[in-house]
Amino acid sequence: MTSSIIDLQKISHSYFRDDVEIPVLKQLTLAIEPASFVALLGPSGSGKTTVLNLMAGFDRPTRGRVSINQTTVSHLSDRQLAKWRANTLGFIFQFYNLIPVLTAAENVELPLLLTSLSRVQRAKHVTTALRLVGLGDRMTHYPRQLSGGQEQRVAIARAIVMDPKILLADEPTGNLDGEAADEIMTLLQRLNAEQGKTIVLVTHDLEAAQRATSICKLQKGRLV
Amino acid sequence: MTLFRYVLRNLVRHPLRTTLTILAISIIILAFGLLRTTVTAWYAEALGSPPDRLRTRHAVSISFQLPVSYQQRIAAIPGVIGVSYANWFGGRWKDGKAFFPRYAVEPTSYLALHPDVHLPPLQQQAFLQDRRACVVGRKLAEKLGWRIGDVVRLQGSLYPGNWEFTIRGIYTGTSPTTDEGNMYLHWAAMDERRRIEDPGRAGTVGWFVVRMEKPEDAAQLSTTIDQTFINSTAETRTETEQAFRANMVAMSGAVIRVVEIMSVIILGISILVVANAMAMTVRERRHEYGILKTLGFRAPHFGLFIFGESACLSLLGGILGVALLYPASRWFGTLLTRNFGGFFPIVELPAHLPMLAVFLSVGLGLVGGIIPFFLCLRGRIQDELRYVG
Repeated sequence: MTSSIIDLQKISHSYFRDDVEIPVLKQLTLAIEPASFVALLGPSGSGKTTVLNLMAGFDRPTRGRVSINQTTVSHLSDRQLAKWRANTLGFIFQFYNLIPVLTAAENVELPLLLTSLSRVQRAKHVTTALRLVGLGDRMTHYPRQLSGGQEQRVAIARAIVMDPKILLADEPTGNLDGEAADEIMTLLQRLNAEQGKTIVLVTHDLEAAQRATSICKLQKGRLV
Repeated sequence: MTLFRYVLRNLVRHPLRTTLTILAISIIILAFGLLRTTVTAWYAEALGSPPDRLRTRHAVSISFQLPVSYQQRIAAIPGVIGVSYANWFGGRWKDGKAFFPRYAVEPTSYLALHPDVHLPPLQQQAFLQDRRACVVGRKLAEKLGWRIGDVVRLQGSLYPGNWEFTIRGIYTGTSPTTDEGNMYLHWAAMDERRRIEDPGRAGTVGWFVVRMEKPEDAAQLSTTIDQTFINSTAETRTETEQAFRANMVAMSGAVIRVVEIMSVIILGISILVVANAMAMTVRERRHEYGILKTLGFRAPHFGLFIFGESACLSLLGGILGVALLYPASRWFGTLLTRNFGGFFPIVELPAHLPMLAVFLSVGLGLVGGIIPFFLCLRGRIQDELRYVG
């Protein structure tokens, strides 16, 4: 039994384009400890997002095993995956990906709609999450009424509202200016330090990667 | 927040598209409603026939005549409480463009057997006393501007020559399905002249109207009447008035069949309108659906989003269409009775149609959402997250 919360064992993965195999990951092995903050750093095409997709169960490896929180992801059905994902992982994307017709609070509440929580309980969770990211006063604002940094913080609140153990962040500062990016990285560091969240940060920005507790460099599908 | 609120918010995301789609559906529902009103109007008189009346005609065809002497023999059959007879008179009024049905009837018994044809007592008396008289329906009189005392000049077709009838009464229908577009004249006056000009056809009638004591005896009584005249020179065929009229309607039913088919086709168009709108929506929200999938939303949720939105769109279109249908059907009814009163004596919005139209619109919306729903499910999360609409 491993103590790793994320365990990738000899992962190989290829894409096929017009029947031509394009290998992306080659025999990659990676173990991430609970409550760690790991940055996956690498240039475009190095396979960073593919690793993230495999961890999230969006895709299945061509070879090897992906185990997250003691669960072998490739053994789960689509239905099980959806439920497991909702309870285990939180996602933060480069482009925030908020629903434009919903307010900040409603965006954060979305994952909670899949639970049996009452309206009052959901409201309490939403308020807590938004306060945690410093947006307690922006609950009724629509995404178009928020700055990029605020939108990303709402996205982070949405990612943590289900209290997942793991946060997967794909270039979360890629669309932000320096100051907003710094705020987001500080927030992620806080979540890691204070809430004990395991964070996997995918980035090609060395400065952002340096905010993590460890850095894994990827090049041409291998850890270097 | 509820999942349904998300559906409602999505509805107003593209106000112009939503409005245009709702308008398109409402026009389709309106057209469907008018077509179905036309079909119902076509069958209205037949369906509205009282159940206690039978019609006896020649077994070969309605165009063959029966001897008027059959009246006494039919009246003598147990279970029969009244018999009258009539002929299709035909003829032409003025240039023939204003068509209206003209019947030569035995007035006393005919009016007694048709209590739904109401004549004020004095007018009825005047009609019965004058063999050169006729009575016309209220709608027909209004349409052609006739008044009591006016003389109607007809040019005979089945019964050649010029005919003149004085309007002695204007009847009204006591039932909504009573045709107020007919003209009734004396069969005796017609037969009197026929005896001179066409003696071979004198003393014959087109059909008998039979009133039964018990409507439930219709089948047995019909058989008895027909057996009475079996192996005679003019065998009969007896059926309920409803069946008789339905057969008459069916004889010219090809056009109405086309109308019925069109009403179904138009519903198919409605499905395509909804499916197209929803397919555009799903394509635009591909990225958003990817996000929702990462949050744990599954097929049933997307079913709610897509079918909920398409059903709401269609429901709104259906409600608007039905709201328009009420004034439109009144206008359409006036137009039909004014121009084709002989074929459409009663044009009214069928009572069940508004509710049917609303239910149908929701059903069509759900059907229209099927392909977009499967398009949504087919998408892979990693592709959807990369998708830029």
